[in-house]
Amino acid sequence: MTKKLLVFTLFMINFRLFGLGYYPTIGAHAAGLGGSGLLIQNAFCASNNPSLMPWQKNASLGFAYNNQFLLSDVNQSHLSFVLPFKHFGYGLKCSSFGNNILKDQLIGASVAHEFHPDFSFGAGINYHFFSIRNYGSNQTTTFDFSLAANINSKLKSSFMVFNPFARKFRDIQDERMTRTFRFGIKYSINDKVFIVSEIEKNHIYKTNLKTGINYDYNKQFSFRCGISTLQPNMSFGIGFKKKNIQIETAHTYQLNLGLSNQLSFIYHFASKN
Amino acid sequence: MLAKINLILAILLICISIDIQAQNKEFDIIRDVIEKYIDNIESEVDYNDLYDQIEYLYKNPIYINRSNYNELLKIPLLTPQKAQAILNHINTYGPLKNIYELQVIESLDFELILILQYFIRTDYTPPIFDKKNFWKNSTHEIVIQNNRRLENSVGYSLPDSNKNKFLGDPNKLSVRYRCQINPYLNIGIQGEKDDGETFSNGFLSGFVNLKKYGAIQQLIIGDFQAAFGQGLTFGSGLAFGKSPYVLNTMRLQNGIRVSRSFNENEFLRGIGTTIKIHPNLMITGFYSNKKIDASTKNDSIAGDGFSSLVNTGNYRNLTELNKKGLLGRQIMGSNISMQLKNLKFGFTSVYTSYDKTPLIDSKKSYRAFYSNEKEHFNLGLDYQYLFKNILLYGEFSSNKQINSLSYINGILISLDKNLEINILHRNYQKDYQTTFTNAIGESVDNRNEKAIYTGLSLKPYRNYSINAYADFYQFDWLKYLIDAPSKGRDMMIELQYQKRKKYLWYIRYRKEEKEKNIGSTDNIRGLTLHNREIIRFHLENIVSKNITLKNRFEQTFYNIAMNKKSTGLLIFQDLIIKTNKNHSIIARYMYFESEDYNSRVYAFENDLLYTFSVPAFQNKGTRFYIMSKIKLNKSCTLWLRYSKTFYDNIESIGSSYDQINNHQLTNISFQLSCHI
Repeated sequence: MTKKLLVFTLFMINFRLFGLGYYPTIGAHAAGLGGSGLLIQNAFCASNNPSLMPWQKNASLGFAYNNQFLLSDVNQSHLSFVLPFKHFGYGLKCSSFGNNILKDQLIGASVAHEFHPDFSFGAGINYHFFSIRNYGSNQTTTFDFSLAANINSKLKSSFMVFNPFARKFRDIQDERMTRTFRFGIKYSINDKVFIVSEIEKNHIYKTNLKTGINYDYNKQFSFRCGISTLQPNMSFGIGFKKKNIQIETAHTYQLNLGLSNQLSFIYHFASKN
Repeated sequence: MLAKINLILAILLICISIDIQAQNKEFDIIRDVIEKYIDNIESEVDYNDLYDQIEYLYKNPIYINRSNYNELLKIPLLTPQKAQAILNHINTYGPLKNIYELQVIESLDFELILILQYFIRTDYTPPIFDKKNFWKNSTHEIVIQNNRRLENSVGYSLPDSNKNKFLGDPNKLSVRYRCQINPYLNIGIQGEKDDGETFSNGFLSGFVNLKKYGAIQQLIIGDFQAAFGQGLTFGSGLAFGKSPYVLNTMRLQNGIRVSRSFNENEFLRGIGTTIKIHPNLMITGFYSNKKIDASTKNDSIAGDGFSSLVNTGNYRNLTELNKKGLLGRQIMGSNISMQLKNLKFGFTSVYTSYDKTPLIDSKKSYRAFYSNEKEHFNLGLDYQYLFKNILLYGEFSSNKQINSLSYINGILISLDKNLEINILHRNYQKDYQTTFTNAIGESVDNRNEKAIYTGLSLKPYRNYSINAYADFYQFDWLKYLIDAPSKGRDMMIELQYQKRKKYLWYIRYRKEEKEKNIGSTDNIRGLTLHNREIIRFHLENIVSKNITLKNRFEQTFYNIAMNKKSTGLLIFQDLIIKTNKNHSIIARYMYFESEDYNSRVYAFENDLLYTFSVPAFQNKGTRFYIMSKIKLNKSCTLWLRYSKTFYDNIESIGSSYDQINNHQLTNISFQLSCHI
């Protein structure tokens, strides 16, 4: 009984952190940077920041797996595809969180346009499906918009809003998907090192400050670490790249709940256009 | 259904904005200058007056090679030392041939020169005026503006028998007409009907203005503003308080100017004139006779009296109409201003009389020193003295009946081209009484206040600037919700980086500490420290000539004696797109949350012509607006603005008959302006 209670408690804490509408940044690369994924340009920007998609060099397909606190029932898996084409970028995404008791699934599409070599605007639409065993299911649609700008050759900024108007999806209670704002900057110190910092505000939580540093040791290996303040945690990660394959891992340590592990694969298709 | 209509309107607005071209750049320029001023201000006041001042300068630029010190000081953001540096440069090297020659003056940075270019000219063209063709070269401007909030307040749906029932419709409508008959003479008339008002209860204002005609520098018949010296003896109209422009505490106002504001009480109505007796001697005289709104009552001892003035300017129902124009006020004043080389001084005298007696409520102890006389007289002396890199300025003012001397003295020093400091001391007596005052102060009425203000502006490295101020003040007598003598301090520091034509960011920290009552009731409970801190990060990125982005993150912390805490937050994204040289779309998406009134957040908003605002936001929600301009032909321009606010945590907004039983607010505005 005690064990069940403990698992349930952990499950609910985890659910509050990652379930029902609160979507952490996707991918081990972002996770390794304390979750500062707003300006990380890879296959997961279809979710993390669609406005970066036109600046992708290649079409890419990514799969990310997130194991929370070493519990098998609260995993998240995510599949994402990004296609940059001329001054546009197109993305598809789907993800699944939970187990047979509770499920939170999402499919979505994104599009972005590069209005200027230094400015891009993106938007996405998402369909959400939730189910809780013995309680029923529900679904809703959300959208997001984002924009990104190159301030100079070393500095980038971006702003993203997920679910800007937080519409209710049930009238019985004040049930609505959460609304999340992200504002971030990325500063490239040199060709090998960059820093990302991000302010994230979910309308039901306090402000989350996230920052991380990334070091490309060589063309194959990169290392990174970061912190975030909402549920104070620190993380580190390793990246490996060989030809068209990119593999990232990250490990996040949360003071109360322990360790979470992330793993992601990215396959880069032929070059742009 | 309403949501769908709103969405369609928003999309339509975007489409129109993208497709249709052109608009003159005048408004953009004035808006940019005003934004620099008021984006840093935290108050909800009427900025029309500021627009008028800047617009006048834009349309009547100063011929710099023929200008004097006082004229230059009218230019926004130009400090006295910089004005003097320009004049010294012209005296030494001769007239300027091009505005960009100013770059050689060390104390002028390029950003300031970019602003100056709109307000000064190097070539002088005398105005053409043919008395035979009095009307021939006249220009006319008419501006019609309408604003409608889609969600109506309770006042509209009350039964007709209720005295709070709004008598008019929900449209806010205004019309302005201005005519520049010739280079010297212009007239203006304007009317406004607030939402809920009937046309008959609206506001009507006008003026005839003769300017720089012979010895007459200014002659205004109608509605006008007047301000002299530091605004302590007399200062009507808008003036700014403490802000990140830490050196701009000195008032540069002198004389009378027409009033085009829709503020229905804060102006003078009558006649005013300024005569140039000698190139260095000006005399101003004015007389105003106006009915103003007040709460009146009959006192058994004092007879007919008034307990307070009412400045809302709203006449929507019988309750509000019952206070309209109940008090007669006459104001007479004069000012003599002299310039002796680097010394400028002026004498101001103002006499005010009311047709009813001010009634002082004995229960309100903080009003113990308020005058209960029907009339009062103010006398003031103001001065400015520039010695090399040091500017001394100030004003002394007194009430005739009470003989209390209030004063303000300041010193502005340019220690280096990259370092300027400003020290200001003010002492406003608790029994000081004046009709209009706008000298710098913690409270707006310039009484019962002693303070020392220190400001510093430093440019440590190229593109970097640091601005800071500290204001330590004390109130020797009680104030509203402060039931004992009290003190406080207000401090601000800002670090800014600006890469010209590329980007700008700043981080600002402001802290206010003030003693106030522990509770908000009338019972005396002693004072406790109220602490408000604000942290702001702001980023502006000029991506290209056509795209500008602005981001802001601001957090407010409020606590009472380190105990009761509340926080506020604001995040916004601005997108400004210029689809061609003359056309732009301005859009904002914003999130705000604040736990109570104390932790409210402010944000400057772009609005239609003549309309600027820095609204305060409470509760939790999102807001967006989009604004567009459409040039219909060479003369006429149509403006459209759509804004919407969603509140997450409340189901009704406002209180009493202003209450709106909805969690969202939608505003649609349009404006048509024609220049002939």
